[in-house]
Amino acid sequence: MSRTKYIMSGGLAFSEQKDMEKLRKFSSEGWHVRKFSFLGYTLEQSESADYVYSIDYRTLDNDTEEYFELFKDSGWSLVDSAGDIHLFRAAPDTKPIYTDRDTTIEKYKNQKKPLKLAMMALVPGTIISWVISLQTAGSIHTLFFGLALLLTVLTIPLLWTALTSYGNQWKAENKKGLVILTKLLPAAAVVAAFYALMESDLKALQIVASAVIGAIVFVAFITFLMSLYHRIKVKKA
Amino acid sequence: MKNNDQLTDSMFHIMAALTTPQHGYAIMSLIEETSNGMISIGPASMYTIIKKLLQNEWIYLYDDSDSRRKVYLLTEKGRNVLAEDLKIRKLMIQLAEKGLEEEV
Repeated sequence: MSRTKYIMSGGLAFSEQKDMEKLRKFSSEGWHVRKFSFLGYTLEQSESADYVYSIDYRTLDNDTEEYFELFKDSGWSLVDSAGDIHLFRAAPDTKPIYTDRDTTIEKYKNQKKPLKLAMMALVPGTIISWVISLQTAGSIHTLFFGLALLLTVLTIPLLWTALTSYGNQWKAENKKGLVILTKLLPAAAVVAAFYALMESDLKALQIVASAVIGAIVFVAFITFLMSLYHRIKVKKA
Repeated sequence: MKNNDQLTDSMFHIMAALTTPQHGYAIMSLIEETSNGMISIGPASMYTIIKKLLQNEWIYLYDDSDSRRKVYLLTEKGRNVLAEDLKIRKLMIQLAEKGLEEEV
């Protein structure tokens, strides 16, 4: 029985590069990633080795064999696939899996795909729930109000993730202004929500504003904790 | 990638290799050998471009008897696109060559 342990991912849209460096560091300590797990990776202990890791996003229909063979021939062996996300590892001097800008942009377009689908479902759903809850009374109002609130809290981190994923694509396209925008927008949303909270007498708007602030602060807090944890870990090693 | 765009360097290299039937990894090796290791194409870039060239009907599946190493070849359309692109690249090379000669 080999020993295993779990490490958390920083969220691939947010910190793919950091995740890959972390996995490399763990490998050098003898802990090799075996598979994707809920919001992270499962590592297994064996002899230490220097491996580099890379992620690709791709919807594979029937021709998985050709795809994985191409990577294998190039020195990249598959660690695990989770849906459209594929994790590979290789010796440190192996050529990278993406070698030009145009296909790197395609990579981040593929990363965005599932986020876009989720947005198409959640964003209209959230808006419709708010509209219904505002125009009804009694138990139907309560029901849709609860639903709207729940959907808002889910939608905000999703929008943030999608925004970051757009940022990844824009970074690959060298659109620096837009990348900065993706970092400023969440902060701007908090400021706008605070303003709404202070200035508006509408109860519903105040609650939405609170939900927006709550969701963003919550995600930011988790991200902060994880980077702190990561930093402490690196220092200790 | 629209049909009237200029080919990216990677696309040009891959299409140049596919003037004869090859599978993906053979294309990568050929490009690397031809350029003395100066140009290399990673597997993810390679796979993305193969799919794009198929979609544009610039290459076609020549032989899929080995499902792990499918062999592709330029179509007539692909040959024309490559020839057009080569013309432009030649003009630019001539400009560089002429300029470098004059400088001496």
